[in-house]
Amino acid sequence: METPNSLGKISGWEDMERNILAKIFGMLNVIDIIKGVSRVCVSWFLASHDKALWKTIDLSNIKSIISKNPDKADDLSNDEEHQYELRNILAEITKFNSSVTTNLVFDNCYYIQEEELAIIAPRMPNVQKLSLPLYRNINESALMFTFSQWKNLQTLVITKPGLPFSNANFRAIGENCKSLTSLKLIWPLNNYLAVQIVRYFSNLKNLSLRGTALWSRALLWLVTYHQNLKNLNLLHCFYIDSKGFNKEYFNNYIKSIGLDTENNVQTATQKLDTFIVCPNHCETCNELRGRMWGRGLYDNSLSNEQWKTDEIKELEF
Amino acid sequence: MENEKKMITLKSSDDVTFEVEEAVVLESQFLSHLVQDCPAPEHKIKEVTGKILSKVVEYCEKHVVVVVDGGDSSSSSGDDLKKWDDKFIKEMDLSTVYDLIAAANYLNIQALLDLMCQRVADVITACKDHKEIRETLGIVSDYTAEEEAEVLKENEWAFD
Repeated sequence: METPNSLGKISGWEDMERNILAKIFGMLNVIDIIKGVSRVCVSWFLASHDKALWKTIDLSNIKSIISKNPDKADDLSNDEEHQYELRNILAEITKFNSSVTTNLVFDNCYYIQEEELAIIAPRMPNVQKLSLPLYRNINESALMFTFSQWKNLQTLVITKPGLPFSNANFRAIGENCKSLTSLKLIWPLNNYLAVQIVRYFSNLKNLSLRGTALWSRALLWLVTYHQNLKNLNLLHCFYIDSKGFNKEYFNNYIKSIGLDTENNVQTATQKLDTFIVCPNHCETCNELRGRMWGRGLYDNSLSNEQWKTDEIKELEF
Repeated sequence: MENEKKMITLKSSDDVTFEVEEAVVLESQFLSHLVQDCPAPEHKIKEVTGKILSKVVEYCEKHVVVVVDGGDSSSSSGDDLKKWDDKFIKEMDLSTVYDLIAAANYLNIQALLDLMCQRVADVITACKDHKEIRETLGIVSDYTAEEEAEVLKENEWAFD
C-alpha cells in the first residue's frame, strides 16, 4: 500500500533513500540481511550491498540466529545439519560485498573446517582481524592456501581449545601473514608452543594467553627469546608446574627449580611494555580453581566463555 | 542564567504553527543553520506536515529538557529518557515512522533518525522472511516472477 508522505510525493519503503536503508540494515544481523531484506525488492537488494554493512561480519551469535531457539542450540557443532547451514550462510555472504570485509568474527560453538575456509578465504582477501574456531589439525595444504589469501591479517584469535597445531600448521600462518602483530591462543603454553611462537611469529607485538594454562619454564623461554613482543596478557592463567594461579607461584617455581632467580625473570619481562598478570588475591582465579576441580587443564571454561574480552585492545572483539 | 528565553515559531506545510524555545530548534542541524542565517521570528518548513512536525517538536522538547536539567547527568535522567523514547516509538504506526524518518533526515536530527531506524530494524527482525517484510511494510515487489525465482535459486547454494 502506498501512502502520500509529507515530502509531497507518493512513496513507500521501497523508495527510501539508499543511505537510510543502509543505516537500518546496519542494525540487523547478517542472516536478516542475506535472507530477509536483500530479497524484498530491487532497491533493497542494492542497498543490502552497501560497503559499510560488510566491513565487519559478526557471526558470533549465529548459533541462536540459525536455530531461532537458543535453548535447543547447545552443541550444534556436533550437528551436521547446522554445519551445513553455516556453510550455506558463508556461501551467501560471499555473494555480497565480502571483498571489503576487514573484520570476521566466528562463534566458537562451531568448528571451522577445510570446506568453510575454502569458501571464505578467496572471497575475503582483505581480512585484517579474525577469530577462528579451529579444533583438530586442519589439512596442511588447505591451511597454507587459506592463509596465503590473508596476507593482510594483523590480528588472529584462535578460539577453540583442543589439540595444538602441528609445526606445519604454524608455518602456514607464520610464513604467509607477515603483518600479524596480535595473537591470542587458547591452548596451554608448553615448550613446544613457545618455540613455535618465537619461530613463526617473530613480528608479534601483542600476545594473549588469557585464562589458559602455562608452564613457567615455557613462559620464561618465550619472553627471553622473542625479540619484538611488547604486550603480554597472562590474566587468570594457571601455572601448571607450580599448580597456582598467580605470578608469585611462578616466581617461586622458577626459584625452586634453580632455573633462574627472580631477578632473571624480571630482566626477561622488563623489556615488555605491559605484562598483565593477576594480583596475589584474584577473585576470578579463586572461582576458577573451584571449577577446575576434577577437570582437565585443557578444559578451561573461562577462556571459552570470555574469548572476546581482552586487556590488550587489539585483541578485543 | 537568562530568564528570558528566545522563542521561535515553526510553521508546517499545512500552516500549523508551533512556538518553541530556541534551544529546541538547535536539536536540528538544519534548523539551527536556518535560524542563524535568517533571524526571522517565524520559519516555514514546507517539507513537513503539522502532524509530523508536532512529533518532531515533542521529541526535541523532551530531549532538550533532560540535557539541560541533568547538567551533572544523573543516571536516572538517562534511564527516564530511554523509557520515554521506547514509549514514543511503541505508540507510533509505521506510516508515521516512515514520515518521521524522512523529516529527521531532512531536518538533520541524528538521534531521532537513529531511534526511528532502530524501530524499523526491530520490525524487520520480527519478520520471519522477506515475504513477511513486504506484507508488514506494504512493499510491492518489483521483481518479476522469473527474477525472483532467479534470486532465490542463486541463493540456494549447492555444494556438490
